[in-house]
Amino acid sequence: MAKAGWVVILFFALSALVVACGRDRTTYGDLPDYAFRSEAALSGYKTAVKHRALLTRLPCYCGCGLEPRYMSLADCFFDSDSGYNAHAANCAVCLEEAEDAALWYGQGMSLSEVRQGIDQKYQERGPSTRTPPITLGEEVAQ
Amino acid sequence: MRSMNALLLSRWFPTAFQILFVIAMVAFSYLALQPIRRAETNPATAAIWTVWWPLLPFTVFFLGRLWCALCPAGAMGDWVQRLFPTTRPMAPTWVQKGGTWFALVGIAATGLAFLALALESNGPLTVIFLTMISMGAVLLALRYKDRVWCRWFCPLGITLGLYSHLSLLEVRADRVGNKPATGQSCPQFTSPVSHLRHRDCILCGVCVKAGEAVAVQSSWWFRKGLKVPSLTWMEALTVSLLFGLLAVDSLRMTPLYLDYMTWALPVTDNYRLALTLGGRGVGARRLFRELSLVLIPLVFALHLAISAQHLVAGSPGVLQGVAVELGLLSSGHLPPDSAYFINLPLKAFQIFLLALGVAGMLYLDGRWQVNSFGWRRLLTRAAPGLVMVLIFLQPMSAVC
Repeated sequence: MAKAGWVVILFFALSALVVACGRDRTTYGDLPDYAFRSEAALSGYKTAVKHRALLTRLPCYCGCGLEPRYMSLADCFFDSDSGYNAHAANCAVCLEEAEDAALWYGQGMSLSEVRQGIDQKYQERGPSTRTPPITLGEEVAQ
Repeated sequence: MRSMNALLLSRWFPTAFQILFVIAMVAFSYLALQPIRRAETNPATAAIWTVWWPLLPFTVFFLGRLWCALCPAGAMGDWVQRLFPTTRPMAPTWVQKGGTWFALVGIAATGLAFLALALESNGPLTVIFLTMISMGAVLLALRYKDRVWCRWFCPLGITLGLYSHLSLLEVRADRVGNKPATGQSCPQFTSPVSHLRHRDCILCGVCVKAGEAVAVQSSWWFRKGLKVPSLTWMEALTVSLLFGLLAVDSLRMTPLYLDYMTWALPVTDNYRLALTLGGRGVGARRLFRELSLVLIPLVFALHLAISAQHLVAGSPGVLQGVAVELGLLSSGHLPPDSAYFINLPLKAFQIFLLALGVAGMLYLDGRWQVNSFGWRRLLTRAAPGLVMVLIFLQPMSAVC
């Protein structure tokens, strides 16, 4: 009986692995599977979805600006073609920036204040994306 | 062996190393609490958990529990005993037994901290971990004689002790030395002639320096055969727990983990709960004492395999981060679009380790077997190892 139990357990374990390997990537809500890599990644992508307009006005200092397609922090999370970008899931700087931006904006800071805060805190972490500066009185597009 | 024995006899050993490691621990603790200036992640926590932590099991294979002789926590315990010299009692039996359970809980808590609290990138939590280990060693050293913490309480020490059965080195009775090998000088309350508990020997050299007839020798277990004595219930649970934690950690570094989380999160709606439940599911298997004993080679092999992943894949990033933080390299990086990759030489090494682990398991199981070793027993004993091989055949991430 114990031996049969072992065989059954092994069968199910192997089946689960085979099924998992062959399974199409599904999403949790709208989020892609790589957003679930870590708690920080999941929180970062949720924040990015909620504050996408804010992130398009902020630079990213992780170093991605070396590639022309990255023009703002939002480009680390979103891709114009396929919807999402896996870049931020693998970058602690992008995730930290998004969380800080959302936190400060939620605390009532203006767009230019958030931008200033991001520039001050992250400017040494790497070269910035070529995000256009904030104009006077500009606010986040709703 | 001669150089090893000479090292143990040296008056600078282990104090010089202990001073270095205490300074390093204090420095890293300070740096772990500082905001990141230029690197991607905190270089101090990265150095501790991506370089030192995965390097430890490899040192056990080659040098036994030598780390424990050099450990800053143990060193601080030794120093406070010298600073406040007094007659201290032997730890009573209830403390010894309680200590081993404390160690087991400590392993579980550490594993949970990695899985649910991202200990490897959490500076304050890392400092709490290091402080608790140090305080435990110091407080017990003030209360009882010798190294009670290292012998019974330290989660890391218990783990390394279990692995040290497979170490290439051990201290054994020898003809050199002018005193009989009694073990009375041993701070670990073990005896160099008692091979039953030689896993408690930390190669500190106290018995060698005391002139006892002992020396560091090769264990030659690959020639003489493995001699792993029976485990206590706590040790058996430790092996089972370690297998569960390491299996979950390995799974977490493969794309299979994403499949599980995309399924589990809609159910639990809580990331940490989903991760913890999954981990409990893998590690919940209760193994009897005999099977846990047999599992040691596989657990050690698994630990080496996952540590190799961190060292080979993760440590270049750590070194780069340290260099960036020090201003030696320019900051900024382009992370890969996919975190998962296959490094063929690394993969081959990991599968080789796991195969050795399974072979070790089957060997130990065959040794204690009374009836014939049929294919059914072979399959059930090899099953955990085969499952781990399947997991390690997946692409793996450099970070959790």
